[in-house]
Amino acid sequence: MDLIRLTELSEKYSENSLTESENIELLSAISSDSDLKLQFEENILLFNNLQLLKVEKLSKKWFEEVETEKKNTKITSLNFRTRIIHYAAVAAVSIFAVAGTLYFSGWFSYKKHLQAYTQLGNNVTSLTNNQKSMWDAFFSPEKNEYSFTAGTGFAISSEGYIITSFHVVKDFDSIIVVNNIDSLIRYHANLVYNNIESDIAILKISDSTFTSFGKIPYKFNSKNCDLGEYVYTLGYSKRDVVFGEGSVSSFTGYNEDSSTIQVSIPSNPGNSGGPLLNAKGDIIGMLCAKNNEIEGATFAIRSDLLINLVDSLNSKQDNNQIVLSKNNSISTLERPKQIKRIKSLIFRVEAY
Amino acid sequence: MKLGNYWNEAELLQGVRENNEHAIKTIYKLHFPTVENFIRQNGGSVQDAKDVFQDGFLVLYRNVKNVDFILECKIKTYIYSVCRRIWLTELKRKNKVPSVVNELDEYVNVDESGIEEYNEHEMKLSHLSQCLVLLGEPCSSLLSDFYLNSLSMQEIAKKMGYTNADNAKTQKYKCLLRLKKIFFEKEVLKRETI
Repeated sequence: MDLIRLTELSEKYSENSLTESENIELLSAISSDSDLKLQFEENILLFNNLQLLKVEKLSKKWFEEVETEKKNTKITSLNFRTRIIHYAAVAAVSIFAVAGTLYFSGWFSYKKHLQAYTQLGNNVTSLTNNQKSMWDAFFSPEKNEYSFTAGTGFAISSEGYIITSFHVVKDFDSIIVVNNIDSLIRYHANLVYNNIESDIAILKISDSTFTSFGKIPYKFNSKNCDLGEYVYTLGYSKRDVVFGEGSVSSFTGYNEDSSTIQVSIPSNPGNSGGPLLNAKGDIIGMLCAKNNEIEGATFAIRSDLLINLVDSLNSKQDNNQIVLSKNNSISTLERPKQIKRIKSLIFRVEAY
Repeated sequence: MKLGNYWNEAELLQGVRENNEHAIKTIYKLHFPTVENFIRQNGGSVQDAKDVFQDGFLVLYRNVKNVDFILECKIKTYIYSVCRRIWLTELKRKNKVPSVVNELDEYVNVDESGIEEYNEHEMKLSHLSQCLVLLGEPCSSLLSDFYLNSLSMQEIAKKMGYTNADNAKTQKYKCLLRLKKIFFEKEVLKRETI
């Protein structure tokens, strides 16, 4: 047997892949020749060492791979951590920005401002708003005279439509309009329309004895008023009508609300719903609220908003149209005469 | 193929016996940290730890290949003990025996003769790899590719330009004979290395 064949068989032997005949061939060769046997043993040793060398090399490589994997995981987790830090920073900055914006825009003091806003309904509150107090008001022996609100309203068409502030009537179901200028008049009225957002209510006199207001002497002036223009109002801040005068002091109302204007008329609870007239006797608005932190800052809803509301109400119904007066028959009169003409159309609105 | 750490000890040992990459990697993942800690606590670097672990693993491998070998403790304990012994011997060799050895884990005693044996094996291995280099081309590449890099004879034939795998095979056995000659005749090696 030559050495090459012996090497081949030795390799197979170390791999355990000798066939039966090869095994016999190998065994007979090495048992008969001691030199071959030595060669065979050396071969096996060599193959074993080669095998070990291979494993050493491989395991070294694999261990390195594990280390690299570990490093990579570390790097990704690090990235993840930095990412979280970035997100946190962005979140903090946005929160700060939002909070800062709200702070500087006065959002946080908004609530405080709200307290400065007083609706002018003659509302003795807290007792009045719930059914129980109503019940008490009707049936307890000492009747609470304040379990109602009172405001002002004025006629807008001869068919018996009266406009007033919604907050005057909103918690009550029985509405009575009173006028005691010429003679004591009391009419029941129904709420036919309300708008909570703009705080407007339109009432219609429901009594069968009512016929007509006659011709409405004033009209709505939809044109913009002028700053500093003289204005006056009539209202029921007490049981009798009260005159108040002043000027248009701002084109916007509370918190720069453009649906209202600010006038310098001293106002009191009960003035809500009162007409705001200019020197000619045109209606330029309806009083609705005041700022109780600023002296003489009363707010009035603009007349064009009132006209729009009446128009939208008309468009919704086919009959019972509200026909607003188009003419002003008192524009040339002096103020006391104007008031004399219109005061019978300005009502104390009581809601129970 | 096993996934994750779901190997039991016997499966791991079988994996090592079969040169299973995943099993060997698993052993490294599971047991290197303890060895690393031990060596770093006792005056070694990470690289020292890697070298020692490598050697310790080879001791395990050599034993596992031996059919008669029975592992009487956990793989972890075995590897740790072997590595610990190797490192302490290494420290002794450098005359840097630590007064207090920071033990981190339980260990079994590995006797000195085992380490000497191991050193002998180590020397043989490094001798063999030197011989492979000394063999010169094409034998060096041919044998390295076949025995160390696990290329098939076809691939080697193609790479080295032999007409077919059989030619390459014949060449391989010729090379093996030369390798054997220089591997067992140390004088040749000495002459070559000067």
